[in-house]
Amino acid sequence: MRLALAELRAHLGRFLGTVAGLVLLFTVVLGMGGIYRGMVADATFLIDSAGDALWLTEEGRRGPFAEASRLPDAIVERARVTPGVTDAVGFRTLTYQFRHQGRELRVTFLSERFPEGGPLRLAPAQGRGLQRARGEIVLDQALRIPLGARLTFADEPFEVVGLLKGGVSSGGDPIALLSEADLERILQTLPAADRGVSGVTEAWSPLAAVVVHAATPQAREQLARIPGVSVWSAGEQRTLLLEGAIDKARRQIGLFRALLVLVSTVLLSLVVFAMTSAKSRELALVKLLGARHRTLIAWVVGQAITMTLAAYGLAVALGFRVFPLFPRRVVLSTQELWAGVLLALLLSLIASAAAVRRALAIPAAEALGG
Amino acid sequence: MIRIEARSLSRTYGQGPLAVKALDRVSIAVQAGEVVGLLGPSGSGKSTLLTCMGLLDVAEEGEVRIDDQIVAKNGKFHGDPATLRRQRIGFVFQRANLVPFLDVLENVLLPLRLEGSVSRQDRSRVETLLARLDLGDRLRHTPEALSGGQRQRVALARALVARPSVVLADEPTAALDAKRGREAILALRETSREAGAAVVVVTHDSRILDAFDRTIELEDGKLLEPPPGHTALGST
Ligand SMILES: Nc1ncnc2c1ncn2[C@@H]1O[C@H](COP(=O)(O)OP(=O)(O)O)[C@@H](O)[C@H]1O
Ligand SMILES: [Mg+2]
Repeated sequence: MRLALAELRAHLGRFLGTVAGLVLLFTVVLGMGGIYRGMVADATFLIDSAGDALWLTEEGRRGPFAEASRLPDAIVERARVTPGVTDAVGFRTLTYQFRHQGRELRVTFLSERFPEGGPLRLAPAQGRGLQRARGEIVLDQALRIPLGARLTFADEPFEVVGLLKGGVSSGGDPIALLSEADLERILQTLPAADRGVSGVTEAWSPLAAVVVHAATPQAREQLARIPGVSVWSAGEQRTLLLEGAIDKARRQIGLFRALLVLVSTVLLSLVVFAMTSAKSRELALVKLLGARHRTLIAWVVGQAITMTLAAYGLAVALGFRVFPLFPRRVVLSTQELWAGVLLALLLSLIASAAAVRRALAIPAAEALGG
Repeated sequence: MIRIEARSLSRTYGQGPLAVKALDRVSIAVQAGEVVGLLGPSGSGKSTLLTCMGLLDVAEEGEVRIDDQIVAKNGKFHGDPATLRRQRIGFVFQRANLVPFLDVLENVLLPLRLEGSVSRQDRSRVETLLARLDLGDRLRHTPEALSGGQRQRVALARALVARPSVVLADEPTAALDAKRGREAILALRETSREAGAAVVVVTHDSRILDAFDRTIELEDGKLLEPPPGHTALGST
């Protein structure tokens, strides 16, 4: 290891160049994983926010996220009175596009019960939740509209009373909470709004799902007996959502990351092999002086590991600084970061295999030759 | 006390009509503190003898003993040759063969590091040795910053640092001018003698013959009888 480090110090330029190349590759690998994780976190935000709930959807429909679903309003009451059910709230959304201070914005309206909250359990990061049936709205920070701002949706005036942090719909749009009555009013005035700059971008489903909290496991069976509904657990909802488009993205991203890891391995093995060839004289010398095989292996592999781990550490540090500036959400998982350390070590070993074979094959007597 | 002994070594390269008998029943024995010159024309087998005694190669017939222990016999090493080299043999080459990215001190400590750890006593012993070789103020220099003679003295210190039984040198003065060459061979003689090592030096350099206690000569892989009129410094 002493030899490995001394040599790296002597060839600082090559060392830093290799590390810089690996840093870029590793940062992209981490970033792509983070983007996928961010996609999943965004997509499942609403499901996760409802907590350990049961979702009632239109029978045979894998809604409301993976597929459209439409239920009659009466189902909410029907669910609420089912034995074992502690709470049932209608899940109503509307994706809406509007212009604010010259910016074209998209938002997913979500009706919120007030003041007790639901169907989601979202606490505003700033300001407060809804308190009145009319004219109040809680927006996600991503819209960059400040607390207290006054907005008009479909001729209805609204005041921003609270701001959410990280609230996104499964489609990736920021969410806005308003009362069921206000959502209804916006819906009613839509034809007028359509003539202006705003417009509905998605068919309005009066009631997409009912979010139910149950105290007993039997409640699920009871709910399933309601005609015209299917019952899903939160976990099943996640699976439904991730099986679709997101799973495809996962496979694409996975393939691309694997490719980049391969490129990193090839780059590193070329560098390590070149460094080993360049020092064959010194390797022959230490062999002649009686170096053990493990000394030679530690020399070659030690350099590969030093370069990879340095690059990985820098890539992680760079990622933490740069990823928050990305337009998309990038989520780094601690578990994945540690798995990355193991992968980096493995990559070093694979990349040094050829160089080690070469180092061990150099005849010691070569050091004798003038 | 005999440090190293070759008994009837034969080494043949190649087979059939193309076979070259590089060594033909060569026997030599070198005592502790003795400095032997190994002479002979090019292709006479000097390097082959040195590599066989240095356990870099093994002769298919005959045996090599170090400190009365058989270390190679009839084509086979007895024990691990790398370990034996590390612990028993010091090498000096035509060029100093220093590791360019290690400083003087680390170059000399290298054999100790290959063996295990370096103690504070080892370090001060090395510093004393380097001071004796006029390198006391060069410990932190890289080989690049040294003259040829200085480099060869560093190589000499490296060959002796692990207190070997044997020091084998292949043309150690070939790359030096007459004055530096003489200084180097005399330093080798003095320091190895103090360390009680047996020294074998392959050389073409007639200017340094008087530094040897005796010389032996190879021709076509065979040992010649000592030439008439041969004089040596003797061992006192
Ligand atoms: N590795 C080898 N393969 C084949 N022949 C060799 C090899 N090494 C040495 N020889 C032959 O053995 C003979 C002795 O060589 P060497 O020991 O190098 O002589 P010297 O060092 O005295 O010049 C020469 O004829 C040489 O060509
Ligand atoms: Mg030779």
